[in-house]
Amino acid sequence: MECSHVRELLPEYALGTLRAGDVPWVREHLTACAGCRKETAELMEGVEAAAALATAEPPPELEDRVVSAVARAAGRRARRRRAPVAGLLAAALLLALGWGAAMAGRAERLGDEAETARRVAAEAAREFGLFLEDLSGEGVREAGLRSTTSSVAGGRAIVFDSDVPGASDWALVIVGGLPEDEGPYRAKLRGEGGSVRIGRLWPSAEGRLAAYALFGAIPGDQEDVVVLDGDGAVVLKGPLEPR
Amino acid sequence: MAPIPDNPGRPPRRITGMRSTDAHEGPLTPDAERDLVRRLISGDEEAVRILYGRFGGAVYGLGLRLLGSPEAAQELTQDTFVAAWRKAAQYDPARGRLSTWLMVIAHNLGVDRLRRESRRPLAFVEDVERLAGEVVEAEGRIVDRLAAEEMLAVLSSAERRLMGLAYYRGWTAREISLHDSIPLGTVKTRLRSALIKLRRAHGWKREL
Repeated sequence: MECSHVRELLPEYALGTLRAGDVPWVREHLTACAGCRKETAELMEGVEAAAALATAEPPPELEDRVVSAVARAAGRRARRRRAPVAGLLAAALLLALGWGAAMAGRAERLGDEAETARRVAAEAAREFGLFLEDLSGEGVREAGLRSTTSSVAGGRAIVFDSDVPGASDWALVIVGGLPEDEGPYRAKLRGEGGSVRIGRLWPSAEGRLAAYALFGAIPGDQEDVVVLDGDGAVVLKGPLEPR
Repeated sequence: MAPIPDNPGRPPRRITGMRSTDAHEGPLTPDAERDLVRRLISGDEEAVRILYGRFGGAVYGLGLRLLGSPEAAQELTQDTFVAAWRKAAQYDPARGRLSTWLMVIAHNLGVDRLRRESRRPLAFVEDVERLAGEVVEAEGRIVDRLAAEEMLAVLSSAERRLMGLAYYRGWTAREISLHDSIPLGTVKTRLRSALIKLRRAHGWKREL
């Protein structure tokens, strides 16, 4: 990609409003181009100046809330390092690699779009890995989402069915490579007894779309996860499997 | 560095009191930033407090502006510092200052939330120029109103409006182009010139 084209997009990249699909290749260009990196750094400083314009005095109690929130997050990380979850993380990463390899084969035919989808899926799997580190493995099911068409899109879903009284169940879906103009996309859990809505997929970072939902209790007969396009057609699908 | 002579009718004014810089013993050196990040990664409470002391006001103010309520701004502030802790290992000083990195995290979280909730800030921001007055009156304790006014003075009215829509409402260049009936290329050019001018004005402030 030529610098002139990238530079046209850099103000929006710095402002964080660049179209999600353009972010990965702009970032890729920046890793290889010192000139564009310099321009980006300067624009970022302009963004920082814009942020400074809105500086306001927060309520006094907010500092302790922030410190406590970070301490809680750090505490969770420390606890899970002691938990026997290395296998879960390794499995998640292996699954990611497997999916990435499949996508790499398509990349040869479909070029950058597939490469973007592969990278998004691998990153999604890494994020799942972080979630999985927090779990014991009980009640966790996962689905690799494959396209039902010739699309290069794909993704991953994870469902947590807690057996702790009062604790919430949840589902998380992250996908990449879906065409922007065929949304909005929605994710569902499907089973013999019907479907359960996870929710609309929203743009996340680097071309990803994501949805998550908390449930009082997910019906136990859910068999797969599907993603539907704006017309209600299933575009991604994957069976839920125990981890 | 002198301010951009974009507004010859107003003499340069000394800007003071921006919390993220001179309210806390001057800007951090690159070594100090690296040390702070190392301590953040290890979950050092004091490092979190230092980071918050320097940038909490900027993050909170950005949240107020983006999301329109003190409650949402507080949540955004909390989420930003937790995200900074999670991502701290990815921070690369060679790619930018710590403050820039943190504010990008805050802005991305804020814009994501705006889009997710499909709502606009309660305080409708037509123009960045209103910043200098609104937040002061709402909060009563903005660190330095003059600093904001001086910074905004370097922008043309068209640039101020575009920055308001892009940064404080999270609109894309295409959305702005359609909304304001301005060619897309013009929007991009004005956004770039606005950012460069703000950077220079901000740099001048830091050197005082």
